[in-house]
Amino acid sequence: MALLNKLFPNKRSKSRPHFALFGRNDDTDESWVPFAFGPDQVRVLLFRECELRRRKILFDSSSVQKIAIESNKVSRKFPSLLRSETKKTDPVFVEVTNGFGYKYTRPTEIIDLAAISDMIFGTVPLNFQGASMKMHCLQNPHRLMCTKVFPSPSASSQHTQQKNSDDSVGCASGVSFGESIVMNLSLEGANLDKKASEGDSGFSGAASFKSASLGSNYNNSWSLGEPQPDSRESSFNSVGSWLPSHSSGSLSSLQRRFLKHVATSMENAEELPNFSPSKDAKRSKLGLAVVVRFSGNEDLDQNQQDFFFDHMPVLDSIIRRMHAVVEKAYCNRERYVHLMKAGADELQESVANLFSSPRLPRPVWLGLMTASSEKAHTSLAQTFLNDLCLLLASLDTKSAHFFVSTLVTAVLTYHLGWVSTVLPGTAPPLNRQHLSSPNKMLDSLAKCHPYNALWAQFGDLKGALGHPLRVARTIVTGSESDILNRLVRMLSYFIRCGSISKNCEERLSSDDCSQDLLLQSNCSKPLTSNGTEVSTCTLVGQEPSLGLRRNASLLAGASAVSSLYPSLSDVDIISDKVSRLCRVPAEAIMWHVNNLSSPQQARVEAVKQNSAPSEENKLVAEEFAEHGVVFVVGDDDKIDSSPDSGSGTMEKYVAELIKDCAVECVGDFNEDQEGPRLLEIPIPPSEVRLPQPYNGFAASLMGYSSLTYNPDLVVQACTQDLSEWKEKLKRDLMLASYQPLFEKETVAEAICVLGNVNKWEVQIVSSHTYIAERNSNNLGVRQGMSQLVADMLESVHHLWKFGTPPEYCLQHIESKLREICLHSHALAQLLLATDLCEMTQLTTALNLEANDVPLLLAVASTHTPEVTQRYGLSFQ
Amino acid sequence: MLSSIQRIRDRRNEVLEMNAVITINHFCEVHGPKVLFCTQTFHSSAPFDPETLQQGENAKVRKFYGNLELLRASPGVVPSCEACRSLDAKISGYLSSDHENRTSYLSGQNSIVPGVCSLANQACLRSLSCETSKVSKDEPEKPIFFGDCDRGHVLSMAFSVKDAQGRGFQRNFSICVLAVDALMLLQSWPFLVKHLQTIITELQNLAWKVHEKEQEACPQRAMRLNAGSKLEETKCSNKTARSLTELTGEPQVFYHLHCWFVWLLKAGASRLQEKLILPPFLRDVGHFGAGVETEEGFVLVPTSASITVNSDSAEHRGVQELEASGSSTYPMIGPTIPGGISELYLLMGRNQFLLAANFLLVGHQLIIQCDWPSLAHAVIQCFKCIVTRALFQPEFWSSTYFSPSSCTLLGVSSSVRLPSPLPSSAVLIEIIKGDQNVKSNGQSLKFSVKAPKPPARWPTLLTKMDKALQNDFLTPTALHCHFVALKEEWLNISRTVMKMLQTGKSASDLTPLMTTFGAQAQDWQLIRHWGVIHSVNSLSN
Repeated sequence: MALLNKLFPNKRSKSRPHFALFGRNDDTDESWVPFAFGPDQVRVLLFRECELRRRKILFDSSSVQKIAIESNKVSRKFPSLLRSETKKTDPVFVEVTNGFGYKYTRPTEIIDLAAISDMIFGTVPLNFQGASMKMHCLQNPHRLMCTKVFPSPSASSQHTQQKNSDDSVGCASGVSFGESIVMNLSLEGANLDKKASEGDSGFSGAASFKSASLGSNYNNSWSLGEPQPDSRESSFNSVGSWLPSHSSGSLSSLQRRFLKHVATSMENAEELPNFSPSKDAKRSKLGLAVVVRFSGNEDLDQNQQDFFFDHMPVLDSIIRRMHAVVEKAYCNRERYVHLMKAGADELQESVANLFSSPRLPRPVWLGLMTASSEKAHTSLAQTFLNDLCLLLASLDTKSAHFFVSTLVTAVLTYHLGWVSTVLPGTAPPLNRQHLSSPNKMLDSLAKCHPYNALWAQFGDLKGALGHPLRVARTIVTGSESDILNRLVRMLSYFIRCGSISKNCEERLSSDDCSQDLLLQSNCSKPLTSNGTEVSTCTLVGQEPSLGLRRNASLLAGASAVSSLYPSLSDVDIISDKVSRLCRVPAEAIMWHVNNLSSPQQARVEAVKQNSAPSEENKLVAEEFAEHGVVFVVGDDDKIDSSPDSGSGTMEKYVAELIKDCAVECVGDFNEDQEGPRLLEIPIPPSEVRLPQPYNGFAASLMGYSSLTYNPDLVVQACTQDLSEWKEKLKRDLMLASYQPLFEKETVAEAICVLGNVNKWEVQIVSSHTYIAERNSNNLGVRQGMSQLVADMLESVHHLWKFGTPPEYCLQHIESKLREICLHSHALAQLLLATDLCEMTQLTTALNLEANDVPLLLAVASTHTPEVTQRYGLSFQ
Repeated sequence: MLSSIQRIRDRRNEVLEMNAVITINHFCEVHGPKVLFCTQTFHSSAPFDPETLQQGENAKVRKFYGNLELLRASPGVVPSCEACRSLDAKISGYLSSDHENRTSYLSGQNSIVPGVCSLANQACLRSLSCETSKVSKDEPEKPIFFGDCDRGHVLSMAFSVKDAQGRGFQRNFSICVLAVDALMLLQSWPFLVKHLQTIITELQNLAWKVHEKEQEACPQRAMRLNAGSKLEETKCSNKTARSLTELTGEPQVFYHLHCWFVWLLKAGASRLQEKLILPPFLRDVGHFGAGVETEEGFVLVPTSASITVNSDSAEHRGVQELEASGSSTYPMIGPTIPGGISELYLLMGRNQFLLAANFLLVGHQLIIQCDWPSLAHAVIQCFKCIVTRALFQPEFWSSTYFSPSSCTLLGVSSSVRLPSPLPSSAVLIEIIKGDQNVKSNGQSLKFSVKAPKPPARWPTLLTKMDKALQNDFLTPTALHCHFVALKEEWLNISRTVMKMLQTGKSASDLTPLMTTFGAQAQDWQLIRHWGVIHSVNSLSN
């Protein structure tokens, strides 16, 4: 590991550009780790803020110690007395749970908690009640702090009344708290049931995790969340002393006043999208902070930090898991420290895993896509085919329940990233002759409608391409890590995503910039084909004889056609669809566009062009002495602007710019000539260097055989016994289904493909718990083997045995995958045209087997979303 | 369907227009936190058209790619406070348009989109008076990210610049990058922070120089200490609210910020680019054309709207193709087969259809002899959907006979003299007016097929097609898609088998492979023929 970490800085060196993408470029099958990173580099803090009380730290992972207690007998004999007794006899422990005592100690690393809480909650309280996220930099040592602020959970108001009638210890009393857990769970349960009952095809946004914790709690009193002074208070105080929040800015008093004004002003209130009634403002908030400390080596820190930011979706789900723990612990005073400590330990482990868990050395698909040399390509293809055929020979037998074919069927069904690789987005048939490569199409799309490439890659890997949206991951488990590793390597051919390149653009320095502008301006280019409009940017300073030409603006005539423009909401839908183009084949987009866009839009452009005034205004050439610049705004208007003499790069730059190049004014955006003008300025030039290959998610989300379960990887091999992590798996799937992976778009279902080598069984574990088979101990449902997939694998096995070149074998697999896509088109069309089909009717009509249908339906959901909207994904 | 539209609508309200918005804000001595200057991206709202995307140079150039309504409706209110104002009364904003990518960047006092405007105001408020990243008082502010789903996400960098006349000799500013996509913003953190820091340092340096100069001319500290006695005099000389232009001594400071922000937005959006994944090893083999259509001419049919198997437009297009190719024109009156291949199947009867189709699939010529060009044309169109492109060499209506090598489907009138006997690789379909039982377009037709002796068993492909044609559930569209899948399957089989034979394997070696493919002895003829003509075809390509 030490060696690997030494190697890591090479990631940036040009000699081994693919290092990060593959992990390793050599032929060894050793796993690689991105960075060395320990759980101790992560610290978890929990604060609470309430408007009427002070801010308070509720948990600090670095100041809680867990100590095993010898006297288990006591707890067994007098379970009811346990808590109080321990407290009396051993005041060191703040809590004793499950035979462990918890005590507060001095934190290993001292931080200014007051300042931290200012960062978390802000220096002044905000009215906003939803969950929000923050990120801060901390220096010396360099750390990043990621924070979630959310309203503190509480039970119902009924419970509050009961509590108020109780004695002053209130919250700490076991009875009321036991109830509060039940309340809380039942609330959660209600939401889950609701979600579950909606089935596959639909999903209401109301059940997102955020609202699950917010939704039904609005009439709760804030007072429940306030702990009464008890023995814990003192121990918290030992951690840090809590003063009322104060602003550290120099203008604090002014700010406070101003904010008071803002908070009471109605005009501002109107602008707040979710203005909450003032009583909500009294509810306390919790701030969960995760502080990640980097190594301290500057270069490495930069790399680690980049890696960290790239993997924000992973961190987000890690924090979500902790959020769930906090909600549970907060309402469970008796086991609060225990739950929090366990949650924090898990979080620390997860973050450490993100950086340092073993990864697949050479993901096959990405490797083939980015292989730098023919040799590397062939060797990777050979390794893959060897792996595949070895597995087929040994595991794809009747006694092993055709394990490999079944596993590949499941992976192809849920990790749908492969679909666009074998059947790239098809355009409407009429245009097909003129289409250039899909890659170019994607390129121009990304330029016109930029989208988040990492997000796209993430979605591909997770198979989040269909409709309804499902996210998937795959775990193979068993006792022999050799087989598991081979399986993961093999699956990495079928779990696909696009590769990402990083464009290195630098802004040109001022000198280059003005030079460039100079060049640009020398060639005045007509902007439209009909020549009615010519934008010119002409030199004034150096060649005064050259005129400055200005034409009436195209837009002046636009008022007549303004009503033709689509409403903004239509545009939104379209551009949203467009920005997702690469996620789904173009025909699916076209389906939306055809259905959603108003036919007016096509006309708009034409009308607008026609109505553009063709009259040319007279040339205006004015020259001002020295640094003068002419802004021609109308026929006669001039605005001159003489920059003051001064120094400084910026000033110099602008002065030069002004001297060299007159900037034409785009008049007539406002019809009346006297009004203010828009100045049209050329796009600032930049220097584009060669794109670098970039380590997005792809390689770092593919795990290798590891001893523990890791919920954040897309594919992994786990040698730990299933019984130890199956509860975690269920919980994580549940949480993943609430995670709005794509902004506010909700995930309909989270899936885990679970290949159990010990039992030769592939199961699909779903976040919909009702999908688990009844009357069995199974976690999910058994995956069936698609004959199409089995035939594909068997034929490639034959080909490989014949000694066919690897390229041809791979081509054969791709062709077979494409056949699967074509079959899914047929199935989609059949389902669309008929109202109701029996499975037997379907399979006879299309000459399929029943086990092919789920796979084909899943594929169809990417290109023909109507089908699954109508039938859902699980056709039975 | 409706729900999905609704969801998209909900998800992306008017704020959608922004990928990111960059604002510079200040804390006004008089008015509190105010947005000074805001740069926003606008994208062309034209619906996605693959052709436009392909041929960027043909796209129409506009001054402004956003919603013109917004631009025209923008209030353009200029704050009266000098410090809160970025642009003078004569300039409403700066506009830079990237025509290649159909994107406009517009800067102004604040966003012209009302929703964004209010988000920007909130971000400004929070960045200047609420969020902090200081552990101790003397530390400079560091970048902060904050936000939520409702109010957008903000990457903010607060900073102060020297102001000799300001409170505490400095003024507080912040630059905020607003985005809806939190992940994108966080993932761009290193990039944005690096460049924002450059901008801030530049501004601070400029202001420092101005400050030094002013201090030299009139030391503020001394003046303020004396201010108690000469209160009124001091008040007159000092301005509490000076603009950034004045503080930096740079009259074009906002023009320059516009350039920076535009560059940041542009470079930030294209920083990471996804490469679509067309396997190189597939391209090498030439299996995939450059386009999306499969090489064999199967059109992938996504929706029923674009299906042309049996519609009139198919007929039409066929005619146009013909006319375009310069062949003789002929009247298109007469019977047609509007029901497509399913109808042809019924009209010909199963046995005759299979007989003709079988010989067509293994490379024979079909001669359709009848009195109506429209009918010959329609029959040929029907057969088109069971063959691959290489097998489809039609001559829709000819006045002379063509040999099988130049034409696989030939329509001739009954007056055309056919060679006698017919070549061994030709099948004749005669269509005449028949009895009243079979009707098509008002005409009763009778088909008779003259063909060589049929094989003992039909090829598996044809059996599957036969089965599909007998199935009542399959709509024409589904049938077409099904045939495309079947043809693709058998094309792959024949290619693979031919490849194996070329590498010296014998037919018996291939038996296990053939079994896997579901191919049997009766399929050999088809496999060989398809293997040969498609490998020839791909070579010529």
